[in-house]
Amino acid sequence: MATRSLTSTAVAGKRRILIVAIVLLMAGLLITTGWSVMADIVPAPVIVPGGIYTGVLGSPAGPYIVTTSVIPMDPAGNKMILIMRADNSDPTFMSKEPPSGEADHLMDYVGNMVRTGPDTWDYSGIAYGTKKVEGQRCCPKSCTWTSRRER
Amino acid sequence: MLPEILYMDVPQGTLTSTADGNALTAEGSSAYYLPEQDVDGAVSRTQTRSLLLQPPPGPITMTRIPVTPPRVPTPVPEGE
Repeated sequence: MATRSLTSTAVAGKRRILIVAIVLLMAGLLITTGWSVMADIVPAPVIVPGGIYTGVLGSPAGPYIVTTSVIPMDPAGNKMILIMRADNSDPTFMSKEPPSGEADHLMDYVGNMVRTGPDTWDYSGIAYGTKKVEGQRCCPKSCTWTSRRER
Repeated sequence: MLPEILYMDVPQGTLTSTADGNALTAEGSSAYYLPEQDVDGAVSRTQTRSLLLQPPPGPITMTRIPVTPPRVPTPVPEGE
């Protein structure tokens, strides 16, 4: 009688372990399946930066301070306008050789950004290094601007 | 006289944003061009030649200047 009772208890224990294992397996399957389905349905958050950014870039000549304007061209931020100004730039790029060594002004960089991922963009731009030309500095008389005070 | 254009700097690369959009990291390199002016002194990008490709200056991380939200005026009830 006692042996029979012990046997039934052991069987009941094994059943319980089996049931718990099945329940855990099912729960795991549900969670992983649900997660993958949700990942397909819910899109990744789209980042749309915009505004004015400042930063410092180390250079052999010292810290290079940069101010950048980022302007989205569409609500999704797939294309953006980029305007970058090197506030304390060396227009010669630390070169003493002409022609860059003769430049006395570096214009702002203007360019654009094109989205390549949820948080990345390719950018390209252009800036000109210029030099003041000696000689005539004023407009011809016919082009001279007059202020309101002079009128 | 207008300033003379001595060179053109054409940077390109990748910008990466943080999740909140408050910081941008730029990486890339710069192509450096000398203008080839035509007889009238006009300069165009198609008339340039590459002088050198500057080494990447290294990544620069820029932080967004905080923006104060716009103040919406409180509507005045009619009759006041």
